[in-house]
Amino acid sequence: MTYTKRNVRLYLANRSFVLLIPVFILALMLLISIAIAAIIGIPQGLPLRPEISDGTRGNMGPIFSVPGFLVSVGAFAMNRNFSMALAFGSTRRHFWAGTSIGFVLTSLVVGLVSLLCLWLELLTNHWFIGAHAFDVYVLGDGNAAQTFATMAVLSLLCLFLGAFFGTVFRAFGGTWTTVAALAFGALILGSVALGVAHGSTVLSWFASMGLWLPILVVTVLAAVAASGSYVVNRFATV
Amino acid sequence: MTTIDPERGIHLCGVTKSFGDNTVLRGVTADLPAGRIYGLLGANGVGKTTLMSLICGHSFRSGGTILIDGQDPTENAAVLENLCFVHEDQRYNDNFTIAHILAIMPAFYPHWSEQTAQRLIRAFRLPMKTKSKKLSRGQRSALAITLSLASRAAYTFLDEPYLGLDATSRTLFYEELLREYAAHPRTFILSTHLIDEAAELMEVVLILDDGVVAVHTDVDEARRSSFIVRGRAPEVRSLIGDREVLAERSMGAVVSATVRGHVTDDDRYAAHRDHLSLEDASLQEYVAAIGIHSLTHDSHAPAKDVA
Amino acid sequence: MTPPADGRPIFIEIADHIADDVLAGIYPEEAQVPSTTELSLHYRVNPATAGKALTRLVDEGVLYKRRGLGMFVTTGAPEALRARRRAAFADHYLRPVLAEGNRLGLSPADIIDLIRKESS
Repeated sequence: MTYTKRNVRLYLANRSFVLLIPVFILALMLLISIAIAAIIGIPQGLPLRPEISDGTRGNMGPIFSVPGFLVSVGAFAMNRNFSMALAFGSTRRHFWAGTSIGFVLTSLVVGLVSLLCLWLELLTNHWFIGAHAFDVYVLGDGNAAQTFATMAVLSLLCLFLGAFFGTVFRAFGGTWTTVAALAFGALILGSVALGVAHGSTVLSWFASMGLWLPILVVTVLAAVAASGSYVVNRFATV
Repeated sequence: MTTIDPERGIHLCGVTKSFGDNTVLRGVTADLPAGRIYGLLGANGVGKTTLMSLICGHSFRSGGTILIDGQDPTENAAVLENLCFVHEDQRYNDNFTIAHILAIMPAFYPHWSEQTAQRLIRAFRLPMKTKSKKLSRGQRSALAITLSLASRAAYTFLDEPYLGLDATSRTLFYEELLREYAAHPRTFILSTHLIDEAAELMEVVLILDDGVVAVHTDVDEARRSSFIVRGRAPEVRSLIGDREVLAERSMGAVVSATVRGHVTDDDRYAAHRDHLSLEDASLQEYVAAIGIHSLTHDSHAPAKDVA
Repeated sequence: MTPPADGRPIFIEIADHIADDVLAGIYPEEAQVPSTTELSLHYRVNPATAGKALTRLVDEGVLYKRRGLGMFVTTGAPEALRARRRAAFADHYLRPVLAEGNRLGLSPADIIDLIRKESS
C-alpha cells in the first residue's frame, strides 16, 4: 500500500490543480447560468416566470464545463508524473494504481460539490430567481443520487481518457495517439449505431432505468479507458 | 572506510539493447559491488544513458540479466525504491513548482534528507515558487543534483549531472557528493564528459565502447592504462613496438601517439635516448582515444549515430 | 583535485603533502593526522584515494593506526623522513640540475659557483 500511497501523494502534489480548479470551473459555470437567467429575466422581471424557469432545466453546463480540463489533468498526470514516479523508484503498476486513486478523489470532489450545489439550488429556490444549473434534466432532474453519479462517473471517464491518450503518447508517440483516439471514437460511434439499430430495445431499457442507463454506459467506457491506460502503461518507457 | 557487503551490488550479464535495427548495447557484463562511486564513461551515443535506464527499469532490455542486490529490478517495488535516477532531460509535471516536488520526496524516500535538500537549494539559489517548465538548464541540473543527493537512495544514478552549471556550482556538487558519500555511504553511478575534473571522485571507472564494457578498472589503473609519446616518427614507432595505438596525430615530422599500456623503464630509457617526450595520458585523453579508435576501426559504425 | 602534471597518481601526491607537513612539524610525533573523510573532502577526492595515501604512509612507517581512533605520526617519523629524503636528494634534485647544466655547457664547477651566489 505504501508504494501506491506515494503515487497518490505525487498526484496530489499540486492540490489546487487537481482538486480546486474543477470546483472553480463548476462555480464559474453556475455564475454564468445565473447571469444568463438574470439577463433573460431583465425584460420580464425576476424571478423568472415558471415556464421560462422550467426551460433552463435544459442547461447542459455541468456536463460540458469540466471535461476539457479533466482530460488535460489525466493526460498530464499519466504523461509527466510517470517520468517523475519512475525517476523516484516507483514501479509502473504502483504508479498507475496511485494515480487512479487520485482520479477517484478528483471525481468524488466533483460529484460531491455538484451534490452540494444541487442542494443549495433547491434550498434557495433556484438561486432566488429560478435559474437551473444543477437541478437539470441531464443530471436527473433534481435526483441527488443521479446528480452525484453522473458528475463523478463523467469526471472519471474524462480523467482516464486523458490518461489513456497521455500514456499512448508516452509509449508509442503521436501517430498512435491519433490511432487510439480514432479507435475510441469508433467505439463510441459503434455503441451509438448499435443503440439506434436496436432503438426499441434501448428505449425500453431507458424506460426502466432512466438516467442510470447512460451512467452505466459512461462507467463502462471509463473502465475501458482505465484498462487501456493500465495495459499501455506497462509498456511505457522514460 | 566503507564496508562492502558482497551480497549487495549491481550484476550485469550480457545486457543488450536494440532500437529497431540499431543495436546500442551488444552485451554489457560487469559486477558493481555496492558502496562505491563508479564513473560510467565513453563517447556520445555509446549507450551510457541507455544502460542506466535499463538498470533502473525505465526502459526494457532486449536481452541479458540485470540483478540488483540479487533481484531482478523489473517492476520490482522492493528493489526499485532503493534507486534514484533523475534524467539529464527529466520531465516534471508542468504545474509543479520546486516546492511541490520537494514536498513529495519524503514519500518516495524514507531516508530523504530535508537538511541536505535545503542546504543545496540555498547554495544553488533555486527558486522554490518557479514552475518546473520555467527553470533554466543550470537550474534543472541543480534541481536534479539536489533531489539525487537528498534522496539518500542506496543506488543513485547521475547522468551528466552538471550541464549548464558554472565552475562554482560544479565544485559545490563535488563537495556535496563527497560529503553525502562520507556521511551515508551508498552507490553512485556517475556519467560525465568533464572526465578529468570528476575523475578524482570516482573509485572505479567503466568505459563503454562499441556496445560493451571496454575498460572496467580502478581509477588509478585506468589513468596509467595509456601514455602519450611524442617525437620524430621513426623513433616513436620503434618505442611503441607492437603495442596498440589508440590515437595518432602528426605535424610534419613530429608524431604524437596515444598508446595502450603502461610506461616501462625501457620506454623511459628509449625516450631519454631518442629525445621523445613521454607522459601518462589523462583519463579524459584515454576515453577520447578509445572513442576515436572505435570510430575509425569499427565495423558496427551505425550504432554511433545515436545521440 | 586534478592530477599533477607529471602523471603521478593523486594518492602519492596527497601522501607527499602529509609527509611534508610531518617534516614541517605541523603534525608532531604522536599527533593525529586527518581522517580519510577529512582528506577526501579537503582534496575533493574519493575516500578510497585518500585511504590509499594513508596506507602508503603506514607502509613507510610514517604513520601508525590506533584501532577506532585514527592515524597518528610515528615517533621518530620526521627524522626517518629527513634521512630518506636526504638519500634521495641527489637523485631527485642534483641529477636534473647536472643534466640541464650539461645541455647548456655549464660544468659542475660553474654550477657550484651559481649555488654559492644564490645562497649568499
